[in-house]
Amino acid sequence: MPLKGTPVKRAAHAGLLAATYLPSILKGMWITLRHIFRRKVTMQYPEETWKLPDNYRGLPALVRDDQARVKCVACFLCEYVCPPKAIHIEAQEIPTGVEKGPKVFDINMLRCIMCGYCEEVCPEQAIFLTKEYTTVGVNREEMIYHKDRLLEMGGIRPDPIKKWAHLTAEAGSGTHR
Amino acid sequence: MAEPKEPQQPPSPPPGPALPAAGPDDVSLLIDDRPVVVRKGTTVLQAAEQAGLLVPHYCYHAGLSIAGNCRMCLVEIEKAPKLQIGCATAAAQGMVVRTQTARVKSTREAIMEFLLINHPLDCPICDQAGECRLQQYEAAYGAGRSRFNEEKVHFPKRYDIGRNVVFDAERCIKCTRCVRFCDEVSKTHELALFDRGDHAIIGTFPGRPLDNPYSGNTVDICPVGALTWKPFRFRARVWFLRDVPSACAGCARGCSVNLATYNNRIHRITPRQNMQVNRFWICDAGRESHAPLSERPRLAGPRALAACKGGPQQEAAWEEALDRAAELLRETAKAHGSGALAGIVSARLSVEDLHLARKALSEAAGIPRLGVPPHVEGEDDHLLIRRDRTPNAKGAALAGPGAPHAGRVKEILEDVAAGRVRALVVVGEDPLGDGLIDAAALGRLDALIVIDWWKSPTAEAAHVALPSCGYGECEGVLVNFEGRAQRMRAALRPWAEAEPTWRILRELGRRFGLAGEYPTASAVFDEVAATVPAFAGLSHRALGGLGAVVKEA
Amino acid sequence: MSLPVREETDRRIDELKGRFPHQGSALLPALYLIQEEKGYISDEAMEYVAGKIDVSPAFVAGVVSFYTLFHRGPTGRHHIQVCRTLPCALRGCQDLIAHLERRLGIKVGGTTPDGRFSLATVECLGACDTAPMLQIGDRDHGPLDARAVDALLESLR
Repeated sequence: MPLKGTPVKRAAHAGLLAATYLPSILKGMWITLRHIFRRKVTMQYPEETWKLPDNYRGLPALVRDDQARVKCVACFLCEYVCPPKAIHIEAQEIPTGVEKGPKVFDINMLRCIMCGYCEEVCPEQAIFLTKEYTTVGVNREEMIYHKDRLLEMGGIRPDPIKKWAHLTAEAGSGTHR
Repeated sequence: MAEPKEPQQPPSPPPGPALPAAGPDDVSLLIDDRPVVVRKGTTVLQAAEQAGLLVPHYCYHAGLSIAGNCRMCLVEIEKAPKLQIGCATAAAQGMVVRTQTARVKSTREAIMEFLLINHPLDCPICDQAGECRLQQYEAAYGAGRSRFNEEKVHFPKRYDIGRNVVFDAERCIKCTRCVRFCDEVSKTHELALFDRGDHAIIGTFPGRPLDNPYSGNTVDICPVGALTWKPFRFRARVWFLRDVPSACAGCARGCSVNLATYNNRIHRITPRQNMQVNRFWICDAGRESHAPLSERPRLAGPRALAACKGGPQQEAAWEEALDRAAELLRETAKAHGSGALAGIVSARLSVEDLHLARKALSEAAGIPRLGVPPHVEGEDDHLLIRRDRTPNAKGAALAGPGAPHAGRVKEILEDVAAGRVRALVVVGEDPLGDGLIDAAALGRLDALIVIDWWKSPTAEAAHVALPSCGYGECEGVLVNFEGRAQRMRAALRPWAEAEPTWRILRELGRRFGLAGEYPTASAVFDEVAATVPAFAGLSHRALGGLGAVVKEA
Repeated sequence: MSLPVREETDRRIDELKGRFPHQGSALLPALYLIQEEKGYISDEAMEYVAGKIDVSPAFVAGVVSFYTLFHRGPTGRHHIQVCRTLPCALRGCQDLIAHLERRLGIKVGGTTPDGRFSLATVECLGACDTAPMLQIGDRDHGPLDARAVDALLESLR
């Protein structure tokens, strides 16, 4: 069966000058020349890094309050809400102050999709997405961030709401754990 | 302020269906335009429950006396000027009750606000969160916001009120369910309400903490997170837990329970309402009966002694270990006659296990004597605990190798010590650990075959040790001392290579020509129902959630 | 076992029991008798009363803690009970309490080292017309300002 359709229109022969390719070469070199004087778009990563917007969602991390108390109380809501099930928590009883906290708090950064649900669901404002986006490890175990590493990443984040103030005051200081 | 107009409340006569006729001992009333007929003396709250309407409540509990202090169950009753508490108002003939009017709703909202004024924002650290009446009712009936800007009243938060219970006084709403439980059900009277007003607090008399065999029930009935069970404290959030209905295997009562599982582990055991067995309660021992599962060393896979006697136990494949067991029994019978075979079978096993013990060991393998050791401890108490600690003594008598009998077991073990019994099959028992026999006597056996869920001293001494499922890992039926058959359900995957006891016995029996197919526990039970008159007409399905009484001759 | 109360008191409690349809109702008058004799109600006395009228010791302790007029420990010779319920609170009982604490050098619930005064806060004593008020022994005093309190304490020294 013969094929149906419109035949392709081919360009007419360009002429002798075009056959020397000189106009095309000059045109290309003109473009290159113009870009030498333009503002550079290439970023010299990692010497230079991105300026991230405030709502950037990077790796999640745990924070301490201004008394250096671990704010997480191991309520398991983030573990519950986490879509890729990247969070694993084990709770422990703490003898002073707020009575419950995490014994184990692991985030598997290979699983984490930086969706920010954990930050959103956290009733204690203890987990935040940082602007950190570089995560390197030579094996899977290294990509599971443990409590200490997550706390180091999060640092101290003062909270205007002193919900547990009367308990941590009673305990003398909040610096346990 | 003018009363809001209520479309549900036009002037009399009331619309809706007419009141049905009531018998001499009944009263009929209308609740939210639904006609209800209840026995005289029923409260409005209970009548509403029968009509399928929930009247929210905290202090009312079907198993306790009426306190009427939480005020959450206020309902509108026609001709009564004020709202009435549903829990303490008796249903009367012709009563017209409304539970959904604007007045009732605004009152519930106000009650919730009062209850929450001094309630701490503890939900993230509170074990009750997820099954908390305050959370449920605030979501359903509350305003969803707080107007209270002042400092809340502070109380002790880690009040060690008893051996197994921690009290958080800040969370308490003073419904006094726990106090009434100790006064009326456990009859131990440890708790009382101390002080008054916003300083009121549940407490104990100095030197008399909450310490009774039923103290865990106060934690269950606490509608908020004030009382928490020490072993469960901070172990799991309840929304992860899956309740599997089962029966307790702690004593001959066989209480209906829920096994709360998560990550293939039982995290707690709570009572399941069964008015024929345990009503609303279980004992503390039953509550913690899952602890041995994680505390005792388990048998991972079948183990068999190397062919030369005296060598160490080695892991073996199932088929290999079963072959070895059968071979040992056969060799002993050949050398010393079948009289040299005996068995000890536990009445803690299910009807299915015991039925197959009889079929496989007595009938197929020709073991002439099977002993069932009794386990007795303490005395029967006034509530649930039975001195007979075997949960299936009746099942053993009806469908298994016979009722527990100390004398028969003693006879068998004496024969073992004297060398008259040369091969012993032990199913679910630990005569060595229980001190019924010494290691030297046990060592004289030519064959010791043990089927048990843990590495008991007897299992460690065995020639062949076969791992069975532990509590909560397999299906089965228990018959309690009153003859009520109830199902145990599999809540967990069997640990490592463990298999249900009945299946191990089936496989062992097949090596002696046991014919039946026995594909499932339910099929084994069907055979019991078909062959044992007491179980006639019963099946796993027919037992349902509450069990059924077996027909005893 | 020796009685934690005098035989006379013991006999009078027995007598009380017969006066009520439920012997548990004798609890309050019995506690009164004990406090009259001892000045306060000790743990042993509570256990004794509980056994006597067949209620639980915890219940007795609950009742004793409910009423501020029962004391669980020895009080000072003059037991100052300051009302802290609404009318007195609106009329400044907090200032009154603070002033008393300063003057006596003790906190609420405490007793002066010489055993002369003890201080407690209580619920309404039914003398709202004289708010802010306090009660010492059986006598009400109010309305009180700092000077009136000083004069009152002076008269009791």
